[in-house]
Parts: sequence; C-alpha cells; structure tokens
Amino acid sequence: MDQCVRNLLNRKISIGKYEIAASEALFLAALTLLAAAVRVAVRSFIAEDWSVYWSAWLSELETKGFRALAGDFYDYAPPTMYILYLVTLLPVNSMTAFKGLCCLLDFAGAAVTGGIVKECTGSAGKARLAYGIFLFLPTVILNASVWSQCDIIYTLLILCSVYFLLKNRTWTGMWFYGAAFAFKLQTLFIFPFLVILWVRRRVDLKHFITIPVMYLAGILPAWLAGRPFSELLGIYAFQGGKDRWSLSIKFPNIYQIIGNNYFLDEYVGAGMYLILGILMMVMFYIAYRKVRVTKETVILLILFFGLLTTYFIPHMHERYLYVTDAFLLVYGLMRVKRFPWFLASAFLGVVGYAEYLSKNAALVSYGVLAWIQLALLVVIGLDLYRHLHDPEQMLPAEAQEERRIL
Amino acid sequence: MNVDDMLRSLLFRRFRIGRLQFDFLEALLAVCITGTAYLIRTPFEYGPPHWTYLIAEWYLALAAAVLVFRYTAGRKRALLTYAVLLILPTGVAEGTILRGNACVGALLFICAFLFLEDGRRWLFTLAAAVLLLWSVRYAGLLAACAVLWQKEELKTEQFLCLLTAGGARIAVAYRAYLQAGYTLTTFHWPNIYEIVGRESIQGQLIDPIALVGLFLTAGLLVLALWLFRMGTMRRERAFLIRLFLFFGLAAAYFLPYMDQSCGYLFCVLAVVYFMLEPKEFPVPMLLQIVAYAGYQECFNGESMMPMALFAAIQFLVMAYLGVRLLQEMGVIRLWKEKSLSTWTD
Repeated sequence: MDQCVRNLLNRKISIGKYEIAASEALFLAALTLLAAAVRVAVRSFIAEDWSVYWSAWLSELETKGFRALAGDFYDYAPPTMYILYLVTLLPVNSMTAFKGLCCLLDFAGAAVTGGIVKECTGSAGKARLAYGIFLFLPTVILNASVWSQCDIIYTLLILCSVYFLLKNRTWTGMWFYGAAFAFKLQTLFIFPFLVILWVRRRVDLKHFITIPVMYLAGILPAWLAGRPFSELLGIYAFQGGKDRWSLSIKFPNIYQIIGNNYFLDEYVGAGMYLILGILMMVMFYIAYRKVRVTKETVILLILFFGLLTTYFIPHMHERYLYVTDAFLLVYGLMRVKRFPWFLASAFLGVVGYAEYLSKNAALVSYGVLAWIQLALLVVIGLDLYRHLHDPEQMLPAEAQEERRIL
Repeated sequence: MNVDDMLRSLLFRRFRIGRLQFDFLEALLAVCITGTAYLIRTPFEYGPPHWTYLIAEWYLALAAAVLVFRYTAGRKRALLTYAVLLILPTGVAEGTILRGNACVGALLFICAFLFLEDGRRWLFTLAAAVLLLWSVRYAGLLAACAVLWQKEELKTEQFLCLLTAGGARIAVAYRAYLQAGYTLTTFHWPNIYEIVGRESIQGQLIDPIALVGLFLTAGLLVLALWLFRMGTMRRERAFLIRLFLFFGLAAAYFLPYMDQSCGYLFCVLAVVYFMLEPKEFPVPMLLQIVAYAGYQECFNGESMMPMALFAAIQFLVMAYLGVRLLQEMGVIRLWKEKSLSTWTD
C-alpha cells in the first residue's frame, strides 16, 4: 500500500508537451483548491467602493443597458465598464459575478507569474512556487474577493505583456501592454522600461502604435453608445482630478514622510514635474549604459520604474503596488536573497488594505512604512546600478546589439 | 537605415559648437530639464520667483555643474548635477514657496569653491568672506577654512580676513538673537534642539540654553579643529567637499536660532559630493529629506513625523562624514596606535 501510493505520487503525468510528477500536480491542485476556497469564503463582504460606486454603476447599466455608457457617471476606463455590463447580463448576483471573474483572473495572473519565473530562472519548481505564492498574497486575495477591485485585470495584461516580451514575441507583448493601458492609466508607471528597450533596439517605434490603437479600440464601443469622443479621450485626465483630499492615500511614499495634507493642488503639478525630471535623468543615465539586455535587466527595470514613480507621484492609492509586488515576487525567486524584500513589500500593501477595509486606523505609522519603501527603492536601484555596471553584461562600444532579450 | 536606427543614432550623435562638444541626448536633457525646472515652480500660489532669483538658481546649477566638470572631467556627471540642482525640492521650497534667498548664499559658496579650484586664493577669500557676512548660518564654513589654514592651503592673512568677517557676523547676529526673546531655539531646522527640546527658557534676560548652545558649538568646533590638526590633509576633491559639508552641518546642528534655510547650501553641496563619489548617495538623499521636512514644517506649522527623528538622521549623516574625514586624515589610526590609556606623548 505504502509503496503503491509512493509510486503513484512519483509517476509522471503528461499534459501535451508538459510533463509533471503526480505529487507536484497534487500540490498544485491543493493550492488551487485552497486559493479558491478562501476566495469563496470571503465573497459576501461588501466594501465601501462597491456600495458607493460599483453598485450605482451596475444599477445604471441594468436599467439603461449598453446605452448607459453614453453617460458620464463612471470615471473608470470604458473597457472595465463593458465587463460590468456583461456582468449585468449574467443570471447571478452582480457582486459575486464580478468578484468571481476577477478571482478567475487571479489564477491566470498566478499562472503567468509562474511562466515568467520559469522563463527567467528555467526552474519549473520555482515557477510552481511563484504560482502558489501569488495566489496567497494577502493583497491579491483582498483586492478582488474582498474589496471587489479589479487591479488584477491590468496587472494580468502587463504580466502577459512582459511574458511575451521576454519570449521575444514583441508584437504580442506590446498588444498586451496596449490593452493594459486601455484598462488603467497606472500602466504608465512602468512605461519608461519600454523606452529603454527601444534605445537598446529590443522594440521599435512601430510597436508603440499598439498603445493608442488599443486605447481607441477600448473607447470605441462607449463612443458608439453615445458618449462624446473628446470626453472619452480625456477620461484619464478626469481621473487625475479626483481623490485630491490627500497627497498619499494610505500609500507609503515620500508624502508620508514630508506631509500629505497640505499643498494638495500645488503638489499635483509640482510632483508630476518632479517625477518627470527624475525619470528624464534616470533614463538619460541608463540610455548610455551599453549592456546586454537580459531577462534580469527587464525585470529590474520594471521594478525600479514601478517603485520610483509611485514613490513621488502624488495621490497614490494603497493598491498601486499590485504590479510591482508581482514583479518583486519574480525577482525574489530569481535572486533569493532579495526575497525578504518581497515579503516586506507585500506587508506594506496589506496595512493600507486593512485600514480601508476595517475602517480602523493602522497600527503602524505610514511614515515608518514609507522609510521601508524608500529602503526597498534604494535596494532595487542599487541592484540595477550594479547590473548596469557588471563587466560581464557590458558590451564594447562598437559591438552590434542583438535585437532580442537574452 | 530605418527610422528607428536613424533616431537612435541621432540620440548619441556628437555635435560641436566652437570648443563645446555634446551629444544630442545631452542637449535634449539640458533643454528639457530647464523647461521642467521652470514648470515645477509654476503651480504655487505666487508663481515662479522673481526673475533675478530664477537666474540665480539657474546660475547656481550651472556653476555647480562646472565645478563637477572640473573635478571629474565627466560631461554627463556635470549635466546630471545641473539637472538635479534645477529640480531639487529644497530649491523649489526655498525660492518659490518661501520666497527666500538662500540660493545667493549657495551661489557665493560654489563660486568661492571654483576660485579655490583655480588656485585664486584671494578671490576665494573674498567670496567666502561675503558669504560669511551674508548669513550666520554659514558660520561652520569658517572652521573648514581654519583646517585649510592649518594645512597651509590658505595664508594667515587670508584666514584672518575670513575670521574677521565670520566673527563680526556671529557677534552682530547673536547679539540681536539672544536679546530678541525668541520662544524657540530652532526654527524648523531639525538640529539638536529638536531632540533636547526647542522651547526657550522664558523670563530671563538671555535664554541660557541658547547661550550654552552658542559656546558649545564654538567649543566643539575648536575640539574638532584640534583633532583635525593631528591628521594629514588629503588632496582629493571629494575630501574638500566633505570637509566643508561636515563643518557646515556641525555648526548648524548646534547653533541656536537656525532656520530651515540652513539646509539649502548643504543639499547643494551634498549633490556635488554625490557626483564625485556616487557610492555616497545616502548623504544627499537623507539630507534632502531632512531639509525638506524642515521647510514643510515651516509652511504647514506641523510635521508629518517627529522633527527629532529628522534631527537624529541629520546627526548620523554628520557623524558619518566626520568619522570618514578622521579616517582619511589618519587621525583614527593615530589614536589606535597611541592607545588612550598609555598615551604620554
């Protein structure tokens, strides 16, 4: 009996080209089931965002149908509203349906994160670990299944984009990036990494056409429904004008150190120009570093720009570390000594989530968290600096650069 | 060649105007950052500062870039110095929000440094003397000049000029400050008084805490000079910057009645220091946060985090600089060799 079970567990199972030990498959199945169970268990929690915004939008869509998209009652990008519209057509409770959809995407996000880890490390074991960790990240669980937020949608698209870019399928990667931009403006946090890839000949200008094309494709149905085109073009600008009651909305960044309750309007402009200036300098510096563009380079660039921009842009929400957390997980599995920083970052995010959801003040000062976040930014910045100065990565001045990510 | 490759090669194409050589990307950054620097000063209530101060801030960034270029011969480092200084948050806080004039002091200091670099000692003396007369917050730089004099980098008559200027400014300023009846011993500058308590003792003719602070500063600086006397002067450029940064910070840390604008010069100096020694990046980063926290408290009347924390951070930065200086000058090695318990000369 004992030997029989052990043999069974060690048996290899083939699914297409993919081969996996039965024990590993069982492990993945158990993780998946547990991850599903926790999401089912908390599905009935009603967050304030749902009762104030989402339910109002849904009732508008339910009463007026697709034509409702002509109105200006929503400030999210139209593609999210199409998903909400589809949700209204389903014969189940809207909140459950919406959360269910986002939770399904959690699993897809975990799988793509695993794929990226496999691509970067070549280890199937680490990839499975990434899958499991992503599914059990508190911020991932809380975001969709408790808060009924949909940050997984654009995160998944970004993850897919990076996955295909790393596989040197540039067009596919850029279409996904364009799609992510059509869903969320926050996609731009990591945009400078694409500029660096362009300078290093990994992408061309023609690939950037995917961003406006996908954005226009995203707003087209809403325009057909009757919303003015100019309004749809400027929907992200309208979003930027909201949430001006604090310079940092439970997000551990520089405003939690220097003060987040004053110059609310002035710092919108000044903060944006400041980060613009910082990005110019950073990109200028990196552009001159002629290095081999490896998978690690790409992950480090995404991480660094994701952390840098959110640290200085005003009016950041606690949820905006979602993408960087996913890439920190990838990086933590590539460079295991950096794994504690991934754990720290995941913890930083949870504090803001917990305060929002429980309506209790955070036990840890956001100022302290902001110092930890600064330390994380410095650590990743130093890693990038060392990577760019690594003699093994540097190319001679006259060397022709390869057009693929190594 | 396709459009992409043409644009990429354009970015790194070298241009020449007279003796000046630059890449297109360098020119692009210089133009864009100048525009951004102007824009960053526009969102505030009163708009950008008066054009004379705008020019002073711009010239300060340019002069610091020239200084870095002379020290490192690196065009990119010089350009990055220019870029960082133009959008430095303390620069915006001082000139645009506070409408202060600390940029003039910083400009004087950078000019003095350029003269020192050129070996024009009297012009250095002149610029440094004007700086010392300009504001008492630069008094610590006098101690750094004393080290230069000790190590025969300055002549006695030059040092005496500086001593006269600095001494006169300190005497005039503190005669007024001590009798002014201030209720605080520091004005939004996170120094020792944020740790020991910044409320002045009231009902006295002169606040004893401030008076003690004044003499304590003088005593500590003389002690530091005595320590530095044992070491040997280093010729590295970063050493000089570190020396001025340390003494400048040390004096402002212990002198009473300092204000938030103290930080301006040290933030500028720290950026120059970082460009000479990139591994020292925590120094400008922490000083920037500490100084800006002071400005923020000044504007808003309250600080997000306890000012004592910023004061402690500033102390750590200052202590680090001091220990590094003593290490470089060989003073710590000397002390280790002559164990204190057996030291008999």
